[in-house]
Amino acid sequence: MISRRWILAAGVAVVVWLGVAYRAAPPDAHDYRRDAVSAAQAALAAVRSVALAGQAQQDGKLFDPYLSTVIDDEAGAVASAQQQVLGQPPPDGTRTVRDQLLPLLVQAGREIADLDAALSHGDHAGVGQHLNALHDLGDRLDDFVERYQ
Amino acid sequence: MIGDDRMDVGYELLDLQILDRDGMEVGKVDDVEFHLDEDGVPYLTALLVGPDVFGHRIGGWLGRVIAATTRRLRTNRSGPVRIPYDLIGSVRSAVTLTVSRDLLPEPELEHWLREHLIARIPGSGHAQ
Amino acid sequence: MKKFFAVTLGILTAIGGFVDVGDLVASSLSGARFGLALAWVVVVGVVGICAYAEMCGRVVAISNRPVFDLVRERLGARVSLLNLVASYLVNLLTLGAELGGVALALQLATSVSYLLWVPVAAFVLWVVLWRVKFETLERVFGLLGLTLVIFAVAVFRLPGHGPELWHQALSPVPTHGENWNTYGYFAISLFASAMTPYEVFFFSSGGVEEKWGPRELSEMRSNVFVGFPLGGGLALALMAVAAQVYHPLNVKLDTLGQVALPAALAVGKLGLAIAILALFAVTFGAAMETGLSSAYVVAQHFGWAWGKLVPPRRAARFHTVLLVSVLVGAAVLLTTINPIQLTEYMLVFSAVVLPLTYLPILVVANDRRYLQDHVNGKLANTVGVVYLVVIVVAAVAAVPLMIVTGAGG
Repeated sequence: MISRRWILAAGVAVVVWLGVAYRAAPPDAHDYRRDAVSAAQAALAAVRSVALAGQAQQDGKLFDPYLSTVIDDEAGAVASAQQQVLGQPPPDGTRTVRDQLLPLLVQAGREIADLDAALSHGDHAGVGQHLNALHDLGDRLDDFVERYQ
Repeated sequence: MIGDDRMDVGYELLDLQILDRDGMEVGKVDDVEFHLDEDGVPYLTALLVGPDVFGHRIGGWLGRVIAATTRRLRTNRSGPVRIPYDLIGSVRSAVTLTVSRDLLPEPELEHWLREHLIARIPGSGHAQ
Repeated sequence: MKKFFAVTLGILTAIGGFVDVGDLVASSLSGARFGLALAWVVVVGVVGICAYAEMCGRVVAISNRPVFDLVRERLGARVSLLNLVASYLVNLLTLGAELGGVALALQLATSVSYLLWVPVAAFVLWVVLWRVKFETLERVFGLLGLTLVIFAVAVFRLPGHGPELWHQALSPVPTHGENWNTYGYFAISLFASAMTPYEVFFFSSGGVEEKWGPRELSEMRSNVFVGFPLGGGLALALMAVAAQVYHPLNVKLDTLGQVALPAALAVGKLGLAIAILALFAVTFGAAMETGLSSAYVVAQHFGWAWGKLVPPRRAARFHTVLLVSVLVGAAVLLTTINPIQLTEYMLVFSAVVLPLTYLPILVVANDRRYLQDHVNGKLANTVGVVYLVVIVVAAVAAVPLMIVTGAGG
């Protein structure tokens, strides 16, 4: 009985170890593309959520503490998407993926921060401008996701 | 119950909840104690309550760990709480005793936690 | 009239009490990703929890023992010890997730980081469970939870509530860009959120404390059969607003702020305030229930004194477990794990242990020794067995699907 239990335990250990090894293996082109898509999706969600919230604030539908929480959360999401893409070197054949995505991520971070500033200064023209930029950026991120998904 | 004075202890008694006269929880039937009468027929003399007898009964490494830990932590009094058979009032979905649980020895863990933790927090004597 | 009032109050409390952080997260996330294509799972889950809660209520009303208490007699000491460990851990995870929800709701209202709110929320929770009139508070939070109705209002004020939603609900397949694995993963999360184990532990323990007897059976049934489906309706409303606002934009939802936004878009400042209040009320109410449930399962397994009607010094072990559980729940959050992710893990883990919770209920509900003539009828047993099969399938598939999809990725 005991020996059977040990074999079972050893089997589980091997499976777990293989799983960990699989996840820790250096990414191939397919993995890299998948990670890039998930980073783009995160940025897409952030950009469009901030655009929705910014518009709602313009329309007088939000409170300041709520708005600042949403913007902080989404700015953080964009930052970790950037980290996710920059954190691993692109395997062969994926450099264009990275080079298409990175500028979008950088712009996402910048637009969110600028919208935040414009909102807190009550700069209506600036807010409108950044909202338009965010809408446009959202569409480009959406295109990126469609292309590589 | 099988007959008036017989029951399937494993099915009908072990692991049953024990309540005192006022419906307060006393513990579970963790094990039972048998004696032999002069004809060598075993008869039930007491219900045993306590993590050490529970650990003993379930066996295996887990049971040994539970039993050993309880023995190690034991301070002054010895052995599990023993409830003589005479104190049992009825056996239905729980065993109901004919006495209040205040007359039985208090489980050590309950005693220790009350004295060292719960009773020191303001408001521990009030029900909601 | 008084009776009518009591029944109404019970139903209203059941509606507000049905939704917790698991439903908030699972409904909103799947609404954003799949529209209403997973709405049928909420319906399936509600029928399941109704069937099993009714069995629990019946066991309590006839035997006067909470269900978990009887589990040990029927499963035997060893299996029930395993059941205890699993049930306690899943309760603890749920408690952590609910506390996280409370802290996030407070952050939305104040913009003070949720991590600073965690200790405050945990302390207030413990004080409430230690001293305050629990029954009153349970009602208060149950009724406050009804403010979730704001999301149902939002459904009709937001664009796209017409035929499109029906179309999504009637085509239960993965939407564009999603695959069957993610679909299955979210289906399991939704199912687990409707059937979260603490609900039955809490429900049956509460019934024992309120001394339900055969006379209360009809009241219990009306609470379950009316209250839970209406609560499920609120979960569907959350799913629908996410489907209207986020699904067309391909936005994957991952914060509580995003969950509340549709209410603001539809109703404005008042709507947002009500939505945040609702998020706070349902998570705090569920935190009270999961905190107590953690201590219930341990005390009921070992036969210790338990409950809110006993002074703490007469139930020292019960109150120690309660205190430790609240502390551990808060400590889990202070590791800075994302509370929304914690909720997703909690749902997967719940799905894994569901058979351990629901099989014993089905067994006990068929035992004449406890229930005499009130044992399950044909209908209850058919539904019970069918659901047990579903539950086992979900439990087996939960972890593999989580790994394959990278927790929904």
